[in-house]
Amino acid sequence: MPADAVQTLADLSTGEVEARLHSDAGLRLRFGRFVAGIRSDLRPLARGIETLYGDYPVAGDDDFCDFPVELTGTGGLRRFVRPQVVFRFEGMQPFKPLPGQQAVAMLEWGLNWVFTNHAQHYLIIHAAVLERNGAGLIMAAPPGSGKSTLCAGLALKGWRLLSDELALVGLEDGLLTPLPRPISLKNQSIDVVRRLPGEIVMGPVAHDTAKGTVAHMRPPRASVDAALATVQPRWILFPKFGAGSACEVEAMGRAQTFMQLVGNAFNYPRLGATGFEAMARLVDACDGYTARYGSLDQIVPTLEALCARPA
Amino acid sequence: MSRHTDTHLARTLANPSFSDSFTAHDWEALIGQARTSDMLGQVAEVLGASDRLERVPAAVRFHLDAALRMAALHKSSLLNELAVIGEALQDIGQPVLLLKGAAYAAADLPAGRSRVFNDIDLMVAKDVLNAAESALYRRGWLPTHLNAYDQRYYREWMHELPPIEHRSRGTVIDLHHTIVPPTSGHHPDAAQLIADARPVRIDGCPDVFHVLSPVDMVMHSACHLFFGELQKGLRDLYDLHALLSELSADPAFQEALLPRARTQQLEYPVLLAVHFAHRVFGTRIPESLRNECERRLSSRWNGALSDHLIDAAMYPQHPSSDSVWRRVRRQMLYARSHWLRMPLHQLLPHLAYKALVHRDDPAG
Amino acid sequence: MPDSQWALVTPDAISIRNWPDGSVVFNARESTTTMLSAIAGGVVTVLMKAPTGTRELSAGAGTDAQEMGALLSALADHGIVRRAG
Repeated sequence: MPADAVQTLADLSTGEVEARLHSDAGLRLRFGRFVAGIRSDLRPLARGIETLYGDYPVAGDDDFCDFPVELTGTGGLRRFVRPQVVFRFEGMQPFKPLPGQQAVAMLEWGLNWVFTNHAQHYLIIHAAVLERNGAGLIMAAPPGSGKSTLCAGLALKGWRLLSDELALVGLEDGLLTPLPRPISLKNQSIDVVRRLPGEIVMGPVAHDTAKGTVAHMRPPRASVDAALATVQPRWILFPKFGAGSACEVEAMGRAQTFMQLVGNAFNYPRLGATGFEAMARLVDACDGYTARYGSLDQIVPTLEALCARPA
Repeated sequence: MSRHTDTHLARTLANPSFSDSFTAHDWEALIGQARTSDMLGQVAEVLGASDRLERVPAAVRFHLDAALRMAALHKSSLLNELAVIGEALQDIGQPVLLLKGAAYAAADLPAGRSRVFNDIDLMVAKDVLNAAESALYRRGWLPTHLNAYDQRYYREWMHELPPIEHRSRGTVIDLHHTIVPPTSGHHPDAAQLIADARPVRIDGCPDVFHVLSPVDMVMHSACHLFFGELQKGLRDLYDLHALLSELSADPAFQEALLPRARTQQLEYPVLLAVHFAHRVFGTRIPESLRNECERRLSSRWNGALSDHLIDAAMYPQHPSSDSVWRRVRRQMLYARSHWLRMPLHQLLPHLAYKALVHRDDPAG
Repeated sequence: MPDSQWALVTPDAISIRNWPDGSVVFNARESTTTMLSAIAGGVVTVLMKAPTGTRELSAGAGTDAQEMGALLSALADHGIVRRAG
């Protein structure tokens, strides 16, 4: 390895990954502009991290760690009877423990919670974000609309993944800041995505979670490598999957788009007038659409055509 | 816990130059302790006030700037709420006192700078308590504790009504009629506190608000901390540090503090406040006042025990500053806070009810 | 019919954006975000500058005074405008 190349998780041996997970400093990975330090003594979690985060840069022990998190098993008899996993951030325990086999999912949810609560310099919208030809597509929708499946479909077609969960809109510059992470897939969408062409790596499958069966898809390497490159937002889409539905994309007015986004923005109420201004600037910079579709084969080419137009 | 890092937060707040030689590891301890203590804004404030923010590593600066942004939003949302509350209460015909954070913000005291504001604490004379509550109901604040036991617990035993929460904005108001629970056996003269309060002006708001006089403000802040559960001990002590630093240089304040506290039967918490503020933050308090406090404190038979227990509450509950022994001592303090507030014949049934019947959901 | 004057309830707390499909109003005092018709948005925009009479508002919007009166009452019900005399 040349001395100036960024060290990634894949450059570390399994023994070294485990040693870091056990250390006080934790395994320190770069998630875009943030460093998370992960501590854990759970073997299956170590395997899951190696599978999903192989391309992520490893931060040095001398780099400031933004978010120290810890996942451990509960002690005592529980360990043998029905093992559970606890998530801690700065020693605090924001969630109830989950069954042990959901450790990877809990890491993902825990990190989402940590990022959402600390990225205060952004208007944070619950949405998938991708980049095409230098411009950003924001797909906002409630759970169950097929947003993550569509996001995976586009990422596998070469769109750059910024996030499958959080649109971070800069309050000062209005740009989208990437936070690429594994794409969270639920229930039938896991198999839908597995059958897509392309190089697909899935993390462990967790059954019977609060969201049903959950698995995570490793993000494309190019998206992880470009995790510091911000993007100008250009399109806002509210997708809705319906089995057997025809593909219909309709333009939506800006006032309507604004109101729909408010319902998906985590910190909009807290930001007061600053949030209103940021949302207005975002809506002004974008064209809004609703999309109904029945399969990825319909919607992906449609979006490729829509987002090919000069910005 | 490490003895090297366990006082990073307190030492940085007391003297920001302490952070000049920080490594990434030190910054992590400081930020972590500040997060768990809800004090990131105050850290940013002291570093900014001593022109140090520019020199803070960029990654750390991100979180300090975020804390300043959140603090500014908190403050403007607080002032907004006060404007609405002021309109609601302008017809009760009596002063409305702002307590704690709201008072520091409205009076523009250093203790209110870049601070997180949670519940809004108000105090009115007992005979207008119900009128004030009804007026707030009409503006959208509704009771949160509908359980009959809780309602009775507050109304009979506490110094405040059950919290009320705004139905759309979610802001919470605690409406007080005095500054300590009557069951604690302390009966400060609430009418006197109200009579001595000072008016404060808030932009775009009717002139109904007052804040406690400087000595009463310190006395109340001390009661809140040392009669409370000390869950955010360091943060509450920092409020006292900021108040005492600002106010205790005034000779009139020095002369009035202890006599006033004695008249109101609240000397003990004031002695503890001066003692701990000086010990933890090195607060500048005139020598004569501090010596007098130490002398009176040392004459109390239970001084050493309380001192040892309370000390544990002055460390952030963060892995870099917490230990098993400090947790045990805090558990004992929690029990102590209840016996200080309630006679045993009331306390034991109350704790039994809380433990067996009324299960509060943990955060999640 | 006498011409009533109208004003915003909390002018300092109001922000607005007008788009072809409607307007979005943010009220910082109440922390509410509301979508209005383009005409209602136009009325709020005029009132942000100064209190204005019903007649002038209806002339500006190209509606009759009765329609404008109904619109203003609806905005008053939402706590956005009030009669200023």
